[in-house]
Amino acid sequence: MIPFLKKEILEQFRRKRVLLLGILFTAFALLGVATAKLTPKIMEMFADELAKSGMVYDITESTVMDAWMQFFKNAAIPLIVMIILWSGSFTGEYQKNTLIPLVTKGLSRTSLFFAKMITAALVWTAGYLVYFVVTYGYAEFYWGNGGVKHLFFAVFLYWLYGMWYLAILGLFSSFAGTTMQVLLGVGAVFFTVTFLEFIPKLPSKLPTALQNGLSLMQGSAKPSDFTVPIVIVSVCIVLCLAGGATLIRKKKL
Amino acid sequence: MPDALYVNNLMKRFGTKEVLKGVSFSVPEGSVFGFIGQNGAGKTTTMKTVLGLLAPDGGAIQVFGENVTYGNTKTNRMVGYLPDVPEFYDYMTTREYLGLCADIAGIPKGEQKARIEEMLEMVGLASEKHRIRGFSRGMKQRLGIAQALLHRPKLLICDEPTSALDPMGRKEILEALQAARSQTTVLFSTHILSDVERICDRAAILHNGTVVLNGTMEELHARKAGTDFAVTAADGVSFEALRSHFPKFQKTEKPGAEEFEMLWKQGAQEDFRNVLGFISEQNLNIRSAAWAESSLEDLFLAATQGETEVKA
Repeated sequence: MIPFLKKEILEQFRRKRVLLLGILFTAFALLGVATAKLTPKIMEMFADELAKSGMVYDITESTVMDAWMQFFKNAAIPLIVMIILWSGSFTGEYQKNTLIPLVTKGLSRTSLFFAKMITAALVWTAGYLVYFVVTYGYAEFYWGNGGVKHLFFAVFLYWLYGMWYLAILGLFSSFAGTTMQVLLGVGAVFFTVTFLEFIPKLPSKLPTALQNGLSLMQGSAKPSDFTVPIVIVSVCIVLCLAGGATLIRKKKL
Repeated sequence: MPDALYVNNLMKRFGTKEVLKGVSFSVPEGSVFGFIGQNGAGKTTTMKTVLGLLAPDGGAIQVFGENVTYGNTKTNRMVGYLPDVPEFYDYMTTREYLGLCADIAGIPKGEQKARIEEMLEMVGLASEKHRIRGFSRGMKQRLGIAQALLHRPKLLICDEPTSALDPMGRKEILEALQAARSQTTVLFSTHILSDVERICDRAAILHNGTVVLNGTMEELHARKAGTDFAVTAADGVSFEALRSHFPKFQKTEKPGAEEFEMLWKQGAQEDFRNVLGFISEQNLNIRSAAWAESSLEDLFLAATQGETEVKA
């Protein structure tokens, strides 16, 4: 598996994916902090005009929670970009037949599958880490992170949420023929979960609950509230990986 | 000793289309085997099944006596494969790519560098330092041969290695295949018959999902040789004299034939001797007299048009 893993990682650099995602995660982290910092100031500038039209804006100073709110709100965008970039990782190779020389030389399909999944996990983890460190640094600089509860656990939850999507992506990639099929599969899962959120009492148990790290930080939720979604997502990830590794063995190359 | 490749009654269906309807042939070790067929005859399907890339619907395949299974087949360690349109990671250089192949094939680190240089030298890419992105088709084909032979496979399988190349590129690939012969058994598919005549010692013709002809080149040629003979007279008088004395002679009508050329179909040695005796008796002027040797093309056309539907 190591040679193919090395190839995958080299590919991330040579295809400029590391650069692109690095810029993207940094940019969204900065954007989040800036939005948190500047929103009250902008509102202040328009306060007079708003007052004339009858709206009264109660000016409050921004807090560190605004920065973390932006953190969780914006994280979806780099995650989506990452999913789109990764959706062709397997199918691109199926279509260009680049795996055939390697598979016929004895590369096991299981190794191939896990090498790609490990690379995806590494890229997501590294990108998310950049996103976190930049946000954390600015939050510390402007407001201080002292009052934030369960900070690392809350941030971990969204990381796990991203891993869940990557595992689903891997499962669909193991048997789909085209990038479009992979994206449709991931999209179908997204809409199914969104739909399930309308069922009462269910939302707190769904994988999407992992996006609510802010409630932990603010103290309105406690870590044990997330036990069910963490278990569900972890089981899902294991099943997706096991399923993908099995299905790719029978994939027509 | 088992054959390098043994294919028995191989069947494959895609949907309702039966692509292989019981393909059987074997490739003895050390031979260069031409696998001939028109586009769509099932050559690539056969090869991919041999590599475990496609699941057969029936039949058996053995590589050096070991069964081929679908998916992760162990027999692939003995096989080198050149796909019809080889594609590589275009962000790598040739050395990086061959290094990846060498790692996967389990070539010891200490031997890799020398082996890679040897392969690049053999296919004429030793001075190429650029990434694969800008490579021409012929260069990719040559890199394809280098990767296929890198782990010194006992059986080299090439899918139409010369079809997309210009004459110069074809010549280079054929020479590389001929050079590979000392180390490995070669099976290559093609629809270019002159390539087969040039380097193969055995061939099989695949048509409509079955092998219609199969044997050594001598056997294939002998299948039609020795039955027809052709005589070309030097002038009209001699031509007419022969035609009137031997009514079995027919003027050769095919394009490119000489003016006074005639053909005796299905003749025996005795007939030919009589003709030669008559020529010398009558002092006829003759340009040539010989058994007409059938070309591989004639055989191919005959076989694929069902004229000699012979199963080997």
